[in-house]
Amino acid sequence: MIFTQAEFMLFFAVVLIAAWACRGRDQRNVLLLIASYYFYAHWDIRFCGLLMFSTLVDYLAGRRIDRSDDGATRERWLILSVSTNLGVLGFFKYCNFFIESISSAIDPLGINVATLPILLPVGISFFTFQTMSYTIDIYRRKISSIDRPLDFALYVAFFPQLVAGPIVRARELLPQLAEVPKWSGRKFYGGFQQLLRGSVKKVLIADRLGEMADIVFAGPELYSGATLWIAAIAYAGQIYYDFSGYSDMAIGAAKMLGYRFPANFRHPYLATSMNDFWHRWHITLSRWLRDYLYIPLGGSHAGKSSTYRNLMITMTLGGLWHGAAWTFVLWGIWHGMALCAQRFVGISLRRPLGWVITISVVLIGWILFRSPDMPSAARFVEGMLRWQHGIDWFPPLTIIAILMMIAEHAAWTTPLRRAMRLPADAWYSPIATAMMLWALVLYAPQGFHPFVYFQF
Amino acid sequence: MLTRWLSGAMIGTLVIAATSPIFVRSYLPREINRGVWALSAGQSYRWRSEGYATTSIGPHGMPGKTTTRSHEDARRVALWGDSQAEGVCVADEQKIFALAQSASQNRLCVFPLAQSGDRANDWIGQMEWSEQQLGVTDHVFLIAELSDLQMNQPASPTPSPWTQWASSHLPAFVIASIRNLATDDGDMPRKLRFRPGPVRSSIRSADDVQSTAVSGADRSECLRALRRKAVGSITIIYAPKLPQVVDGKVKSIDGEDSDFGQLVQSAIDSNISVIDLRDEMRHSAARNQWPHGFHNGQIGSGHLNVVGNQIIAHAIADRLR
Repeated sequence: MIFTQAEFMLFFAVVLIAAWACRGRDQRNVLLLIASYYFYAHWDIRFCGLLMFSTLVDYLAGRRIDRSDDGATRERWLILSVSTNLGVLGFFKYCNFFIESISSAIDPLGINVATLPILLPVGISFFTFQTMSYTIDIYRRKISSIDRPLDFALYVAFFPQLVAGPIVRARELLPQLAEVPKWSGRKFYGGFQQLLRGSVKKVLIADRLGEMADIVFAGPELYSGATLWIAAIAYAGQIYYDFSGYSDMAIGAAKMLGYRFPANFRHPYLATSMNDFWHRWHITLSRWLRDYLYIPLGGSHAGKSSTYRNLMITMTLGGLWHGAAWTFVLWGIWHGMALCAQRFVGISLRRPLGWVITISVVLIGWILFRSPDMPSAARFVEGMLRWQHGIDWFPPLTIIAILMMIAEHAAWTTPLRRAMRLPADAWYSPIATAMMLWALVLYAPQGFHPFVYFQF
Repeated sequence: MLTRWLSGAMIGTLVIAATSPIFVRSYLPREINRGVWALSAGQSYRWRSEGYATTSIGPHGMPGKTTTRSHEDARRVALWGDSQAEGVCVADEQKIFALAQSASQNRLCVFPLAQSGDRANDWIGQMEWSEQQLGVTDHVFLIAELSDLQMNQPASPTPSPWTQWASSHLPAFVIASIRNLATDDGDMPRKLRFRPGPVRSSIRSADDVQSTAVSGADRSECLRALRRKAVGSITIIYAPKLPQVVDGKVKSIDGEDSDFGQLVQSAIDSNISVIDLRDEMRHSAARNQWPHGFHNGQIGSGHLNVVGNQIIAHAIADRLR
């Protein structure tokens, strides 16, 4: 069940009505927990066991760490929690990747290793990171453990953020789950508009851009240089509007239920440096990597060479987090190198030049990210730079979607930014809302288009 | 507040109604003409899927041809086929019939009688009529899929009363919205699933697969039926979807090559001439002139475009001129 399907809309309508009809906190949290497990079971009921296991281990580990004053005991329970989460993630997500990599390395020796029939549970990368942050924060004494297993189970499984984030910290959500939210018509309206805005981003922009990107990335050698450039820009737009659309829908749905999630995107393509880009792109992952990987490694406080090393480790693992393929690793390394280069040069470039360099680095990164393998990525970049001869394909709807992307980014830098949120008291809000609803029904591409980040 | 939202919703709907013709295809009621359900003469049919084009519907529901008159010495040719021959993705002057007339310097008068979804049974039912009413002396069949040359197929479905009513009374954007909500990809009724997963994918049975295969005997019988129904000459133009870009690869090999060989033999036996345009299509694509596909769809996939129509039109003109 994905947010743009009719099933979700009906499911969400029922949950919304039932949740606001609940008087007590426990009643409401039980309802939301059952709804969240049903939401997850809609993909595959077998995944629910894993979710329960992860919840149980981290709940118990959190309690033990919090209750103990003995450093060794606390550390033991933290190691158990982290290794369980990483073990689950490693087995389900990376096991076959490592088997395939080893297999191809030893293939010249005539040894073949078969991969395992493992199904990747949806959202595993998100909920394992979320639960790890809980036990690590307790270990660091930033938060106390929760004594209500129901609230913790809901924190882990809460359906708006379960399968693709935002990665919400325990200290952000658990206090909200401890009480029944107060009804606010203004917040409900704001949540609805954000949900609607996210749907428009996903269905009308990302899916349209994806139609072209999918086809061209499947065979870049067939297309002309101009078509490759448009496809690369289209993919940059697709992944941004797909993921930020999902985030908007998740944040909007949670807001309609009375909860607040952190923002996940701030128009990253307006960034004027790589550092700026990572403060705007997938913010909840960036800060997770910063707080639980980069800073523990030493951050930028232990000399220049250590900083470069820490950046490279963080970004490489960040790349690997996205998917079990060498192209993702290379994408992480590429971004790590860009961040190191920026730090090495040490000057902040003026706006137009900084933006051009940043967007170029990001665009090349997306080609690595999207291509099925490295030779294909190399052919894509080569075709763009050589302006190769081939099929000239300029789909009008893709070009319109790209123009919409440019217009939306330009408008965000002006006072129109507030108007784009469609305030309830503005005269144009009903008109724009009606147009968006009609457009979603009329112009949605046919077929099933899952969110790109679901595969991570 | 409520008034503001209701009036705002109405204005928003009006804006969508005014702009939707740019992106939404038109829906027209059909009427019985030449024994089949066809669009009514005098109407305009807007196609907005792969290519953006408006087609004027002529007499007898002919797409793009608004008159049955021709030069006195012109040969009168009926063009049969499915949506590939119908050509609603391109403007009227770029349709096969118009290009063939132009290529023959109007020594041919081509009647576009093809309709989307038509197959042998549909054509056979209209051939006698075309000779008697339009004075057709030559029949050209544009075949993209050999399975269309098969007898005992169900006739094209009769439009439902609801479809006819909606096409006559409702604006296109409302019909398109209802269709999008009620149907899934491939025009199947939308089914909602609320039971937990995983979903078992349905596997086609061997019987299902075999049911689409056409035997050589079926095809021979079909050609004989075509021959029996026509006094004039019959020409089959074979132009499958080749070459095609599928999953990033160019597919140039015709999977129906051996069936086509059988078809040629059966055609000779039935005194039907066959034109094979596969090589011309391949050569055209090799020059980066792809015969199929549109910018709004995918170049190298889908319906015939102007390049493809020109290849076919020249083949018709060269054969019948």
